[in-house]
Amino acid sequence: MKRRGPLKELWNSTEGRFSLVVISGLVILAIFAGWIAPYDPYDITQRTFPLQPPSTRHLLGTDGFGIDVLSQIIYGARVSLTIGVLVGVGVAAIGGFIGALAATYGGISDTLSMRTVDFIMVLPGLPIMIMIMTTIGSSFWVMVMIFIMFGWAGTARVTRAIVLVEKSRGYVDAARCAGASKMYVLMKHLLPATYSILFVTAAFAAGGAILAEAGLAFLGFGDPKLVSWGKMLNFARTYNAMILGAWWWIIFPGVAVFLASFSIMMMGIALEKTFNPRLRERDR
Amino acid sequence: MVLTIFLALTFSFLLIRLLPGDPAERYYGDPRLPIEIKTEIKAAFGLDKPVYMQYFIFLGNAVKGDLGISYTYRRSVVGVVMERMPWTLLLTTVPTVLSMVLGLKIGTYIAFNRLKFFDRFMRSVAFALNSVPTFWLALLMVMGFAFYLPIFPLQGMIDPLAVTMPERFFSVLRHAALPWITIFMVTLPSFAVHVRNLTINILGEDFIITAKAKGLKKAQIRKKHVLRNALGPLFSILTLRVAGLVGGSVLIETIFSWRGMGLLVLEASRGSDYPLLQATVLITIILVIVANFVADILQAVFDPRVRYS
Repeated sequence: MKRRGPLKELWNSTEGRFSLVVISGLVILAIFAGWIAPYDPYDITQRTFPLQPPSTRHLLGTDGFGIDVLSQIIYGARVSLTIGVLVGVGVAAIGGFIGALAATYGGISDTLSMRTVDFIMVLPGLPIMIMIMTTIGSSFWVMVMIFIMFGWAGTARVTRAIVLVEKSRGYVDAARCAGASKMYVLMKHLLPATYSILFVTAAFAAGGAILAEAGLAFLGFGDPKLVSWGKMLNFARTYNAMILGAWWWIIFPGVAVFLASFSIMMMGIALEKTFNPRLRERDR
Repeated sequence: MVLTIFLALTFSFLLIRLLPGDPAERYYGDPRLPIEIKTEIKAAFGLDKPVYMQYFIFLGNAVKGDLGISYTYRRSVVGVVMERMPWTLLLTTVPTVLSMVLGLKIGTYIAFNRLKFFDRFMRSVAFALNSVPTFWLALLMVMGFAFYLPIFPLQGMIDPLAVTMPERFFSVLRHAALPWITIFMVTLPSFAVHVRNLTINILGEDFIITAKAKGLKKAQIRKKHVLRNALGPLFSILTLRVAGLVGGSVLIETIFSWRGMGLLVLEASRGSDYPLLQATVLITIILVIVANFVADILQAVFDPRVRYS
C-alpha cells in the first residue's frame, strides 16, 4: 500500500478522525480558556449562588461554592492535558532509552534493568504514590515525576523486545562489520525502529496519566493551587453533592476525564493500526 | 526475593527520614511538653541514636515483625494493618475470582467466534472502560443504586444495628454488593479480552494445526491444547493483580467507606501517621514480592518450558 503522510493516514481511520477532533478541541479549550470560559473560576468576585442546576446562564450549573462548572471544566483541561503530554513524553523517552540500552548492551545492565521493570510493574502504585506525596508534599511537578517513575517500566519492556528482534537483522550486522560502534548502531538504527511503538505507548501513558491525576486529585492530593477535574469531584464528594441532589457537579467532570483519556487512547489505537497494518486483519 | 524486600525497607526508611523536622516532635505533637519527657520519649523510640544506628534497629525490628507504633492508634502498626487486611481481601477476591472464571469462558468463546458481534462488543466495552475513571463509575453506581434507587446501602461495611451472627453476615453481604459489582464490571471485560488475545495467538501455533489435522473435536482442542497453553500467561497476569488484591483499591474503598487497607493508607496520610503509612505500604509490597516468588515456583512446576529456559 502506498504510504501517505502520517496525519492524513490517521485522518482516514474512524478512530483517528475522532481522536484528532476531540484532542484538538480540548487543546483549543485549554489554551484559550481565558477567552472561551464564560467565567473565571480563579476569580472570587465571579462567584454566584451555589448549587444552581444547569441553565442558560450556567450551562452546566454551579458547584457548592457558586463557581460555574463549565468554566472549571474548561480551565481543568489545562492541568489534565499538560500532565498527559509531559508524562507521555517522559515515559516514552526514559522507557524507550532504557529498554533500547538494555537490549543493545545485554549482560548485567540488561538483567538489572529488567529486574527493576518486573519489580515496578507489580508494585501497588497508588498507595506508594500517596506515601511519597504525603512525605514530600503534593504539587504538579511531584505528580509528573511520580507518574513517569511508575510508567517507564512497561515501555522499557516493549522497546527492549523490539530492539532484540531488530538487532538480529542483517543490516545491523552489516553496520557492525563496517566498524560502527554499539552506541552508533543504537542511535542510528535501533532507536528509529522503535519510534512507532514509542508513539503508541506514549499515547497510552498519557491517557493513563490523565486518569491517575484525576484519581489522586479526587483523594485530595492534587496541586492545591490549580483547578482540575479530579479536584472538582473531590469537592463534590466532601461537600455531599449527591445528597444535595447536585448531579451535574458529579457527572460532568467525570465525563471530561473520560473524554480526554478516551480520545488519547483512541489515538494510540489509531497510530498502532497505521504503523502495524497486519494488526488490521486480526482486530478489525 | 530477600534482596528486593531489603531494598523496599531501605527505601521506605529513607523516605520517612527525609522529612523535615524531628519524628519525636510529630509523635508528641504539643511543643509545650517538658523537656525531660521529650528526652524520655526520644530515648524510648531510639531517636537519640545516630541515623545509621536507627536504620539497623529498624531493620532488626522489621525482621522480627515490628514496624513501629501508630501515632493515632497508639499500638503496633502491624496489628492495625492485620485487622484491616481481611476486609480488603473480602472486597477484592470475590469479584476478581468471579470475573476470572467468567472471563475465561467468555474470552475463549469470543476468540473462537472472533469478529462476530459479541467479540466486537466485548472489546469495545473493555477499551472504553480503560478510560473510565473507576472511582467516578463507583460514584455513579452509588448515586444510581443507593441514592436515587435505594437498593443498596450508601456506604460502610456493616449495619451497626445488626447483632446476631446471621444478621451481621447478611448485612456485610448487602454492603459489599455494590463495590463487588463495580469491581466485577471493571475487571471482567479486560480479562476476557486478555484471554481472547492469548487464545488467538495460541490458535495460530503449529500444534493447533496438527491437532486439527488429527481430527480432534473443537471442544477437545479448546480444553487440551488452548487452555493448557494459556494458563501460564494468565498466571502472570494474575501476579500483576496481587498488589490490588492485598493492598485494595484506595479509590473504591474511599467511595464506599470500606475500612480496608486502601482507606487505611488514606487515613494514615491525612493524620500524618507516618509509621502506619509506612507499614501499610511495606506489608503490601512484601506480600506482593512473596506472592510473585511463589508464582514463579508454581509456574516452573506446571510449565516444564519455564524450567529449561
